[in-house]
Amino acid sequence: MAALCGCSGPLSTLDPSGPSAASIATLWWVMLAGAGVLFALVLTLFLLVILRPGWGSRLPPSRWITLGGLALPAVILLPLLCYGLLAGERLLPLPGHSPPRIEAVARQWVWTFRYPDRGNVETTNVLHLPAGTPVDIDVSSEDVIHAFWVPRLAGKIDAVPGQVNHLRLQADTPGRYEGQCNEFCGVGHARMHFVVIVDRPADYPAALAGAAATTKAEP
Amino acid sequence: MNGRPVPPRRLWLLAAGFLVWCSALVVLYALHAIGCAFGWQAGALRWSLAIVLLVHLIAIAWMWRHLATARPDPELGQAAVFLQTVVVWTLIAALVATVITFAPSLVLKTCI
Repeated sequence: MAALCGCSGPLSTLDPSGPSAASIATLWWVMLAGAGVLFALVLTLFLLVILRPGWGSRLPPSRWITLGGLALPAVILLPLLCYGLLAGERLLPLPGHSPPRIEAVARQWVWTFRYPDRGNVETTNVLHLPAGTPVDIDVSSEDVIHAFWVPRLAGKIDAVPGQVNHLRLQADTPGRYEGQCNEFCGVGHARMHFVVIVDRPADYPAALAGAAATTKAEP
Repeated sequence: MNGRPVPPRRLWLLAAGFLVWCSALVVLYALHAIGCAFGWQAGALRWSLAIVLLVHLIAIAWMWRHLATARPDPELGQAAVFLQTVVVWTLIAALVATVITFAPSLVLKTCI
């Protein structure tokens, strides 16, 4: 129950608000269920051995090793592995479908977002997204390795100097979300967070223009 | 008594299978990264990964066959027999782990 109390909140991966984050959250629940089944089976065997001394002694040790060490993990872990791989494939920003792009540039300890499709305007520590539209985030870094992460919208991806990594994310509903640098990048790492404002598609151009003007006004 | 003790250097055989697994991890990871960085064709990259994986599988399978059919030195007694049994099973585990861990890289998307 203590763990479940942390299932919501601005940085919760278990309170998804987009297809990528929903897929990751589902994967987490499936993994939890698999782990729960394994734990229950092992605990049951443990209790049987404790409460009924001699139980299972008719099975030779080699059979126990085969069933418990090979068959049991294979039946549960292999399907989980396959499910995880398939879920990961579906999250990839595959070429061919070209959604709008936004560049996310990290440096100690600021996020700068550029919008090539909107006249290359810039915002600082505020990312504006249109609701219900997939967007490719091109993530890079100007100094050390950082990581771009908006837990309620998608998984994290590293911001590596000299390299551009791509992350496709989509927010289902307008609102305010939060993101965080997810790779220790220096003494200011814990404060390197940003806000994601998801606008209705009709409001998006004006909201972005307003945010860009604010950024320009602040030196 | 068990006869002469098993020479300590033979314990390295316990790690042999998973050392090959480690080699497969490093080489496949590096090859994948290099192929993507230099923009290799997906087919060429996939074939390269498949060949590297196959070489590692053959290496483990060769060790397995060699050790499974070898006769333990009778002077070393039961300890040598036990060691050989454990080594053979670690090689089988390494072979299965190599397939499960790295075979998906042959069917998943290569580069984005």
